[in-house]
Amino acid sequence: MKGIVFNQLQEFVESEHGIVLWDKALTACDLPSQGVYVSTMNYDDSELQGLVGFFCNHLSVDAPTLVRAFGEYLFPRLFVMAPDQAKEAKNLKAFLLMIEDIIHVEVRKLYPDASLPEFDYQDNNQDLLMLYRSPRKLCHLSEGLIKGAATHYQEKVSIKQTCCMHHGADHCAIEITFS
Amino acid sequence: MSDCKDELIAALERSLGRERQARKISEVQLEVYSRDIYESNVQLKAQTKEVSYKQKHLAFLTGLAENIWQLETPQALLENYLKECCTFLSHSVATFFEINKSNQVSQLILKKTEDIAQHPFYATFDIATLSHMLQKIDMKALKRHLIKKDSGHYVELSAYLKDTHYCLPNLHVHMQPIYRNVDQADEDNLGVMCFFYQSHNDIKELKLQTINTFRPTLALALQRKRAEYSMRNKVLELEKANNNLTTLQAHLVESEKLASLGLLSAGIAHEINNPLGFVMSNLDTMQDYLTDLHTAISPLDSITPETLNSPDGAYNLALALKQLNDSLEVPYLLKDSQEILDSSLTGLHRVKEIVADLRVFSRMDNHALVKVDLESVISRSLNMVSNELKYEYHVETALNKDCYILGNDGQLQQVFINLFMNAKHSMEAGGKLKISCVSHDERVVVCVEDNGHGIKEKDLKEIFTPFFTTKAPGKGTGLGLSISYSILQEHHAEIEVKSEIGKGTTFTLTFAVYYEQRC
Repeated sequence: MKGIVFNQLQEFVESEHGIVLWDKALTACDLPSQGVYVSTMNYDDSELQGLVGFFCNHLSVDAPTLVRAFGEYLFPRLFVMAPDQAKEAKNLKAFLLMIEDIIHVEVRKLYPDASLPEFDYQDNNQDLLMLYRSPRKLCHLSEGLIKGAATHYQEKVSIKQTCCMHHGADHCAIEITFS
Repeated sequence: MSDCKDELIAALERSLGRERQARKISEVQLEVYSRDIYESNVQLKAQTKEVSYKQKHLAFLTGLAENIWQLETPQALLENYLKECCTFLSHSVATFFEINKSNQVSQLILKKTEDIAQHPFYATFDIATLSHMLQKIDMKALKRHLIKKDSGHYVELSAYLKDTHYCLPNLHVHMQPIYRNVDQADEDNLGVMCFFYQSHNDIKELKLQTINTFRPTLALALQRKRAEYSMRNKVLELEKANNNLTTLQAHLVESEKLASLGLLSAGIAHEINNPLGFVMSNLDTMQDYLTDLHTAISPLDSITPETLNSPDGAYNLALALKQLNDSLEVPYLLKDSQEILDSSLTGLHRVKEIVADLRVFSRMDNHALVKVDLESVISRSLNMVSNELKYEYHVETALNKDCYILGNDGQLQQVFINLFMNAKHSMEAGGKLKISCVSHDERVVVCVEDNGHGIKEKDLKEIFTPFFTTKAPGKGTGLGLSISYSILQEHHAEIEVKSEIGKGTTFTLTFAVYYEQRC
């Protein structure tokens, strides 16, 4: 996992719950990196899982809810880094359809070693089905990011998963219904 | 409250520590990136230089490849190649020479750029110097060495000196064998490209390698160019031979015509002599008749005015005239004179016709195809051979009028006379010659049929072959039918022969009908 995600998680936690909680989490989790994150460097995925687990326990919230909230927080921070073509997307669906072929392509140019999820699309006009595949199983982060994007485009959507890797499927199907 | 503050301060301190550590890592990372960028930049510059270098080499090779197929001769091709190599190598004199089967140097070519020519050393290095220098080299040994190596490389020329006292100029020599032609005796002609450098520093190894890569293309181009050159010369030779053949054929046609004329001359002389004989005899008779007529009117010489005014005189004159008229048979003389004159005129017309036919037949210069009437051509041809067929031969003709074709009178006459004479020769004891000429379906068909001894099947295939004859030696040239065949081909006529031993032979000639619009 890239350091930028940890940095953003730190900002998310600090902005919501203060610097002390973040510090406690780092102390409690005894991370290999010692909580020293540089945005361009890679860190073990287990560090994120450990931190998320700590915050879930500490805040008494389930992991999907916490990760979704973080995704929603993360979107505007990542959006500023998106390529111009993606920024010029006219609506949410157009933007979402660009993730695989434009945004991820640009990310790989900057970070050739980045391990990105793969998306397949099924566009049914009113609905868009995004088939998520990643060994990290961070489908809830994707849901949060999509929700953040909907907020950015000021569109009302309902998001649900019709199948999920956390329940044994080989992919997650995230269904976005545009109202 | 104080605990909270302490906790916050402690958290902030740790956070600061982490941030500082992260900054250090970032700085190290930045240095790594910076070094990577520098190295990439250096690599990129090297690659750019290499690409630029390759581009130059490619441009050189492309330029050579473009020109190589456009030049006319192998010499021009080699000269252009050397010139391009000189410019490409910058500091070298480029030469080409061939070591022939006798291990002598031939086809020596030398090129240098204008810049090089100004150089004090290279200025004196000319073709005479090079030629002199190469004469001192053991070419047999050098050739053997180059064949063995079969690639571009440096050659220590001093190792091949025949005369060890000879002082070679201080040169670095790079040689590339270009082609090797091996003949049946396993002797070689070896084409060698040779680059001379004064200084080792001027040698650009990669450029020589690039030139070396072009060797097979150059060898192929030279081979093709030589083949083209040789082919062009062969085509020219063939054209010349063809022109000679055409001239010879024309001479043969005329010779054959003259031979036919020779064969016919006795008959023609006889044909002319006959009418001339009776015209002479007629004229002799006419001379006697004139004498008698003069005698018959001689009393008129003595007429005077007195005689006419005297009744006795007039009577006596009339009586004398009457007696002479009766005794000399003047009415018969006048009647017979008229007949003699008519007969003489007929005889002379016959002579005139024969001479006219002969003139058409013997005309040699005019081979133009014009509108001709085949019936008239056949009739004239028959006239020419009439004496040959006068006795023991029955000639039957069925010639339609207005059988016009595009042809040449004289040449066609030659064909028909040849066919008629062949027919006569095949009917040694006499026979029947049937000649027909009919026009139908836009074709004019002429049949010449005899009832002679016929042609054997094996001979039938050969009858149009030049110099083939079944006649006894000295009796025929063997060219008659072959020439007739070529004449008929020029007339776009088809010729068909049917023959049966003991029954006879039929020649069928088919011509296209003449149409005005064809002219």
